[in-house]
Amino acid sequence: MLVTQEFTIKVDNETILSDMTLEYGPGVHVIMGPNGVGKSTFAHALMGNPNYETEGAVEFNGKDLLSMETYERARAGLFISFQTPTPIEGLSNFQFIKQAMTSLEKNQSIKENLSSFRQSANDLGLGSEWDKKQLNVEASGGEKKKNELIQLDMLDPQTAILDEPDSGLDIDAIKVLVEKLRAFVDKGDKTLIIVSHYAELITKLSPDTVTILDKNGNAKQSDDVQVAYDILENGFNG
Amino acid sequence: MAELEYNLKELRNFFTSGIRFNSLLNDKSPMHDVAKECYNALLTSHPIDNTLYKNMGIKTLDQHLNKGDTDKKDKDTSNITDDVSDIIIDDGLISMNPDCADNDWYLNSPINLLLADRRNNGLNLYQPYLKPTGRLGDIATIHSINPVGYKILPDTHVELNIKLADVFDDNDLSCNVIIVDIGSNSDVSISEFIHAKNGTKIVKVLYLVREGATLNLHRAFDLNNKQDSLCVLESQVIQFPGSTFNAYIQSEGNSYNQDLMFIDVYKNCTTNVRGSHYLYDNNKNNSVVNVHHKGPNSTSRVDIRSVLEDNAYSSFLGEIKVDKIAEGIDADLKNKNLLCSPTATAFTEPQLDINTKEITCSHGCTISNIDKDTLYYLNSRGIDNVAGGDIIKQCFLTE
Repeated sequence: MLVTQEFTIKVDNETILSDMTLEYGPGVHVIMGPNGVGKSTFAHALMGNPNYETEGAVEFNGKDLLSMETYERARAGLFISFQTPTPIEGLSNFQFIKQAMTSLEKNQSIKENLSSFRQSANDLGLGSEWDKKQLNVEASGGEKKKNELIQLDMLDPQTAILDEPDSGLDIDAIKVLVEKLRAFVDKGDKTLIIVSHYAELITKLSPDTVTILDKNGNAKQSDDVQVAYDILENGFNG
Repeated sequence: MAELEYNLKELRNFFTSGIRFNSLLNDKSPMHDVAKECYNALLTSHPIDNTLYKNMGIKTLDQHLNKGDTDKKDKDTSNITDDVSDIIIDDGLISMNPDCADNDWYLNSPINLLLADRRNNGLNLYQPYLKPTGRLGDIATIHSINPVGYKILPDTHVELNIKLADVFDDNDLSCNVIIVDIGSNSDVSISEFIHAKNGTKIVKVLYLVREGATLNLHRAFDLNNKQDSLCVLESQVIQFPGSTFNAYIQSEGNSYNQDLMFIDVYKNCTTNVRGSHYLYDNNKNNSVVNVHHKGPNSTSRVDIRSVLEDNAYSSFLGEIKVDKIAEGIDADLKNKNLLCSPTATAFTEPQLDINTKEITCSHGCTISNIDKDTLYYLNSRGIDNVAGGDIIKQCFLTE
């Protein structure tokens, strides 16, 4: 359970989003809003990106999230997918996931890890050598997005915030994305928060709530998901 | 036991005193003539004042007091062995390590040791390559007891572990002149280990990579005893036409370190120099890589990287020089530094001296801090700042 109370986010003393009181329990939640309102900012502020100042309170499974460092939030079970994942030359995709799994104390043998990694990469149509490729180096936008999905698969967090996971993916990959996200939620007790305006993805995931961020820095959450479908049909000004 | 303390400048007064036998005094030394030339040059200008060293914290070396034992006896090297080295070298000394090679290997070895006391050793023929440079390597030429070296026969494939040892195990200045002559069309891999001695070691190494030969040089500086060690290692590499020289250098610096590499490249050659230095505490490392293209149609890549922590110090001076006749050159020079401490210091100075057209030549030097976005990305996967920082540093050095 992720609960924000009067949660405000600032960058260089300028308020981006203010006084947000929101609740995300197990299930699927969609975040929508026009370009530039701060959807990614919201996601990264929850993850503890040091570029953002925060006020208010955020409780994550009973813990004070804002007092935690980013790595502690990850260890507590929070995951965020990046719109533009950072490239790290010299670090292979598998070395990275291995280090992350060790940090999260997900103890599997290297052989099991590698086998799971390769299976996940194969599901997404990535090459058989994907584990050896350097992390997000010389990868297309779609490949980077798929790599984030592999990480979601492998790290199996309690709550995942995915920032436009569909962008850059082709139709076949989106099918796999939907399957993987559905499988993630169907594990039970998992919270999936998705920033997306992709109708098919939203429809197929059947969200439980929708949160609309507006240009004035306000957030409004509703369990009437028709709001999302109306926006998909008519736009934010419709 | 009488002990004499002196710095490098004061050493000039002792070259001719006979306190230590050297190539200048020994008219039978194969380097006697060139040692005289170096000595005459040094009388007008001391190498330690060379402006090449302006960013190299030379004061540390200048002020260091070498402790000479005037009663020192010649040392028998026949018992000096270790578990990994095929050949062990110190001033005037070179020996094959009996622990690492069997008799058959000795008998059939494609390696000829170059010893000054061996008849017709031919060492004097290398003198033209060791003319005065005005650098500290000249002191090695003057003050070395005798040059040594090894020659690899043509058309040979061989892998060697070489140790530049500290046989005398004292606090006195050690000067070495080493000749490495790689025969034509040979393919040679040398792992070179530079032992850190207590005090100063000045080494001048001449590598001749003959026509069509390949030399893969992996140079590793001793990770022990760094805080007490001062090292000046000056390499002169001559690449004959059609040759390949690949160098990979690893160090953690030491109390004072200079690793200078001057490479003369003739036609149709390939040159790769990669340096990887992880510097911490008060360790220093100064790298110079100078690639001089003297013939056409060659390729050179230089990439030197340093990670600096604590009060570490690094300087890099790189130059690519292309002569007028050297058309068709493809050269790239890189130096990257990752500063992980506000009290660490890095200097970087790339130079291009291009005297011809029709070439591709580039350079890039950076001094940066740990990228916050990269660290955040690692953090977001549960990796803490210490482990994340280590990953970033390791990747920076090995990418």
